[in-house]
Amino acid sequence: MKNKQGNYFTREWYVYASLIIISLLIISKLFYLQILNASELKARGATFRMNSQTMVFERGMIVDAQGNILAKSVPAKDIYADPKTLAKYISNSSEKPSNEEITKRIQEIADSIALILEKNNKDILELISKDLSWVSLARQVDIDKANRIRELNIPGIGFTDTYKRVYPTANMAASILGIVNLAGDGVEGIEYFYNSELKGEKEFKSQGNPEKNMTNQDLSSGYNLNLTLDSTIQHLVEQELDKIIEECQPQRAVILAMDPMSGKILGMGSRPTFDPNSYTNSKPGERKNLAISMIYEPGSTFKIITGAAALEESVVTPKQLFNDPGYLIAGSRRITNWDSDRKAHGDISFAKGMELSSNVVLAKVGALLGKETFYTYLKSFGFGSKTKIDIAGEEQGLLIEKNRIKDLELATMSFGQANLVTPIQLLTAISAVANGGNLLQPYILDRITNKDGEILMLNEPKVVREVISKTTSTIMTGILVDVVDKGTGGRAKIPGIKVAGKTGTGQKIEPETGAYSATDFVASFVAYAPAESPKIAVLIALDTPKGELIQGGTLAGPHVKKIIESALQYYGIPVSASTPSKLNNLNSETIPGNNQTKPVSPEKKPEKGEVAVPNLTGLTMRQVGEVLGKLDLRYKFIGSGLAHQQFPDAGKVVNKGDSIEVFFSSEDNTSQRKED
Amino acid sequence: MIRKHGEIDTALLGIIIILLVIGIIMTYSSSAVKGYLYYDDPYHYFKAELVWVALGLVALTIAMRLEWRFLYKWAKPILYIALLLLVLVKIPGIGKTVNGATRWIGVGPLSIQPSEVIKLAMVLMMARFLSANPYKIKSFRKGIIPSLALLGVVCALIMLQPDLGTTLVVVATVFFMLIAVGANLWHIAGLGIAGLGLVAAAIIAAPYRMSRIFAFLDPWADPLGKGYQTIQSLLALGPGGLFGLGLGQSRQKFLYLPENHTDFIFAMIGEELGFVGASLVVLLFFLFIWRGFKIAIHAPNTFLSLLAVGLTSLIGIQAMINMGVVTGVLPVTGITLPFLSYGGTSLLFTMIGAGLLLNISGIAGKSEEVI
Repeated sequence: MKNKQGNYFTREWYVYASLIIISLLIISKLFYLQILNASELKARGATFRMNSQTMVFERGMIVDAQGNILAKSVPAKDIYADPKTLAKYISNSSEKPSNEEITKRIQEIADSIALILEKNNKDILELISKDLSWVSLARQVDIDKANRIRELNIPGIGFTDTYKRVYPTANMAASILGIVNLAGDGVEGIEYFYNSELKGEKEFKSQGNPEKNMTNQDLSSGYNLNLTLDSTIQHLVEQELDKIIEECQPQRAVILAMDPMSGKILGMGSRPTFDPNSYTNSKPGERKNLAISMIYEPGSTFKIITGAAALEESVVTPKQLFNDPGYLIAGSRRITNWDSDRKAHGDISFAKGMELSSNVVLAKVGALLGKETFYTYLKSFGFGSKTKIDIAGEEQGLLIEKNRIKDLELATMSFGQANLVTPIQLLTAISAVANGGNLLQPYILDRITNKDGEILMLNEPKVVREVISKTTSTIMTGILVDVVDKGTGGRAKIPGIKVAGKTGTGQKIEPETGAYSATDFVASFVAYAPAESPKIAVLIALDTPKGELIQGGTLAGPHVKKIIESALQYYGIPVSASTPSKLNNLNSETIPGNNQTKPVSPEKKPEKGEVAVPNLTGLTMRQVGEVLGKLDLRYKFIGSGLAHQQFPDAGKVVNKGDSIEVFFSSEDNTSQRKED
Repeated sequence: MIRKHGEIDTALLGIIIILLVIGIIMTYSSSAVKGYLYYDDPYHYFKAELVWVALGLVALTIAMRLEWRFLYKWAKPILYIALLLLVLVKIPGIGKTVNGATRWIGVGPLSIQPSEVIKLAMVLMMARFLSANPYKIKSFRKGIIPSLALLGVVCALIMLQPDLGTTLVVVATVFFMLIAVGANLWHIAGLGIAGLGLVAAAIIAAPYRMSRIFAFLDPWADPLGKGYQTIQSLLALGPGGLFGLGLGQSRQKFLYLPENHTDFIFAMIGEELGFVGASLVVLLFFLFIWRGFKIAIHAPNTFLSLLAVGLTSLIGIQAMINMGVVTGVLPVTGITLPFLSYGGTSLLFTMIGAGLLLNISGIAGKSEEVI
């Protein structure tokens, strides 16, 4: 039936009736809640808010392979004020105080709070003078500071429990760990990648008992992460980065160390860097993890890939001769050997070409390989796609499109220009050359544990695919050992150890012109050792270093050497017959002073929240970390080897959470021990 | 496709604007603490809300000026696109997961919730289908069954998101449209009983569902778990009393009540503006729905009339469900309060719906020219 307007809507009273009923229902429920039942809800609200303070959440810890704490959450307080209550209290406190007295009193309160919080007293005064019932005075304040404010007994000042994320090692590994925002969520790095694990939100089946569900067993804390990262290696990385910055002031620098046999990340560092304990002072650019996000043209280090592919396809043999007149015409461009000695070499073998880093020889090898096959190998080695390492912020690099590859591009690709890679991509690919031909999944998380130490998840090395044969791997490694022994990589030579390596100096594209810059380069070096069964693979890349000789071998070589040398000592591999290592038995329990730090007599009795600094002389980094960690002290490590100096000295009384600087040296300094 | 608008329903426009203004004020009041704590800026959410409202007004103006024949013609393609979006969002790498549910598609601020799109698309399609031959709906086989088939497909896809709240709104809206167009009331009643039967069967099959479904009736049984939001919401309303604690004086907004500026804005209104303020909001929605149905009655043809019924029901039912959740009458479903909840695509699509409703009111004003 049509209504008089000409449509079929004839049942308006049905909808009106249901509408009225629903509205009345809601209004009557409101009336019940807000008028009839209000007093009960008010009382319940007050107790509930008090109880709910215990609901704060402790985020899981991040520790390194040795168990050193890299990130943990410590209890802290948020401090707020109720200015209205405060004002009421002051004006009622004595017999009708004058306005001046009130102002003076509030000023005093602001001063005393500002003193403890180390904040500007004008800011505090402004906050507590507001006509509001709630203002936030400070967030995530240390417990002892909060207690000192509580002892002032100011009415209208309140505290809520919270946690504060602290990074005891300050800027060590900062870009890997990332940061956590005030809401308690990781927003960068591992903190972001494993946020739900650190918050304990993820479900895990118990390893021993698959029926037992691990969810929700402890709502107040998250799971702990154990990384493959090793503080000893990481310290070396950070220390060499600092030296590099001092020596040649590159815009950016990155060092990456991994175990080429397993894909485990051992160390990873970037410059610029930041202190995650005060990340709000840092710029996003400073927080970038360059090892996974810097994209650059790798230059000659990439010749390892070209060479490995050509050997695998049997288009060359190490002894095959190539004519190198010092230049090559490819397409429209003249390619020279500027990366090495810029000379004509005449007829040289492929292996010699690698040693001298001849662009001409490699361009000819690339031509023999052909664009189709070469491209297949690039993909197979993982270039142009993310390695899927478990850290947030990875870039995927950029491969030149296949149909754009002409003679010139094929030639430049062969010696590492034209394609963009990330350090993690390159080192993962080179690890495949090092380990007998398997491209591995790089990873940094070793295992996830719960509070009781029960292992919830254990990462195992994973082969992505076999990219070259064992034979090719052995031949290429032999060539790379010669590069270090006799060729451009000489600065990384370590007596008694076979080091396989390759230098690189990649040209950068000027953003304004789109052409290669004549002055800006990325100098780099990759190496692994011991060549026959590698323990560590290292990549160093310096973006736009300053100096006369901008070459990967010259600038990065010595640092690669230092890291490999110290790391092998740490792994107990004697590096040279002439210099017996004092670090060999680092892990044994026989070091003098070990585990029995001399009892120190503190300068005064430590009060609550304070602690006496122990004597650290003669301890290893790991031991120092443990000792200071137990005392809730932060630490900053300088050097490597055994501790021989510290600041503040042993016996000084400091606040918990203070930072102790410890100087390490591989020389035998135990004789100079201070006898406090 | 664009036309000049006639005399639109200014009362309805007035109601919408009052609701928006209350929404802006309450968003600032309830999100200042959160903005300060998380972004170091008390105005963080307020500024974003102003942008969303501005965008919403643009969307409303455009929807108000659309030619209705265009909507009639495009009802099917729009539905197909909406269904496609619902499927796309579930493909890994395309959809974005927020709070454990994958309901978003797009990049950054350009993200939309496909379940918002399907609401409008479904109303449009049902209006077109039912108006093509209004008598068909009297027949169970030719009218009710096809309607239910379409509804079933759409609801199954929405439940995949998963989004129980939106499913409820869509089902209720379609039933209102069926009733309005004159479906046999015995059919409707029969479907209602069949629905209840299904729920009963599900409970008998797994009795633990009973406690889960009715947990909201006694939130205090699990105050830190399932009952948390409901309790925090009730604890906000209680102290509000008759006139409220005053603007900006909410205590529950200090992070006790999650989603306080989105799904639970009505609790903030109850706490700061009291019974009087909250009842005023209920009244405003009552008036909105009343004007909406008035427009439906005066619409010049059945398609527009049904479209008006659908749009009004969509917004009205969502409002009633949200207020029901906040007052503890319904379980927590996670849907926003139209016009009042903090921004997002939800506000944008509500404004499009309201714009279409105003559009229809304008056509009704000059009915003789149109038909």
